[in-house]
Amino acid sequence: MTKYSPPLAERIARGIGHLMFLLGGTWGVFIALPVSVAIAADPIQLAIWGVFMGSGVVAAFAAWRGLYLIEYATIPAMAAGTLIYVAAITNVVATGENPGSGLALFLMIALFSYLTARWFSLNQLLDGPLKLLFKRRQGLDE
Amino acid sequence: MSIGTVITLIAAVLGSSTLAAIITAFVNSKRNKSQSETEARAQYTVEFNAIVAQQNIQIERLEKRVNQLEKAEDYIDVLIAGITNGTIPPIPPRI
Repeated sequence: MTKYSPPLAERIARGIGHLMFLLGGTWGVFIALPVSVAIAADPIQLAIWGVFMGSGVVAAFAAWRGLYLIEYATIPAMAAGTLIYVAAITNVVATGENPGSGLALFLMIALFSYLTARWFSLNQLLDGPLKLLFKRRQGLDE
Repeated sequence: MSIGTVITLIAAVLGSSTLAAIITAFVNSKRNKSQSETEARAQYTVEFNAIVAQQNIQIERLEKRVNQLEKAEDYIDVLIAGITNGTIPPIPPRI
């Protein structure tokens, strides 16, 4: 964390947000599995989903400490956890098993979109390996 | 396509994206001088401003060229008018 990190309130809010992925995943896997996920996922998929959700603890620490590169790396995992849940809810809504989950479906899609937006916002600041390779080749050509 | 396949696809695609993001973050940590997101954004703005400045120089150069072309166009108009009237005036000095 440096003097030039984002404001404290922003880091706290984002840290709490990311931590909720860990808590949600823990609740889902160890305490009470959502019916939609129980219907859609087999045990291996459930374990993978748990790992994706668990990455939230790394992201929360990174957000709190202002380590934007680590946060950038963990966002796709959290997005994967969210999208798997979206798929599971879509399944129960579409099959008429539980149409009341429609609200959760829209909220989860909103969460996925916010995560994606945050990832692209950070991505703008970074050079991808391919982009670097291209730059290096251009440098050689000059 | 069953819901199980969809979940597997999501896990595969976004799992690979996670790996790619980890590699990208690692590569950037080796070469990126900025210590924080705010610094990285400031650096991005500086780079952006440099590009804008470079483009402004190019625009200025192009504007000068357009001015020269407009003057040349005026010159040709005078010539054409003279030829049309049959009173070819003394040819104005070339720019």
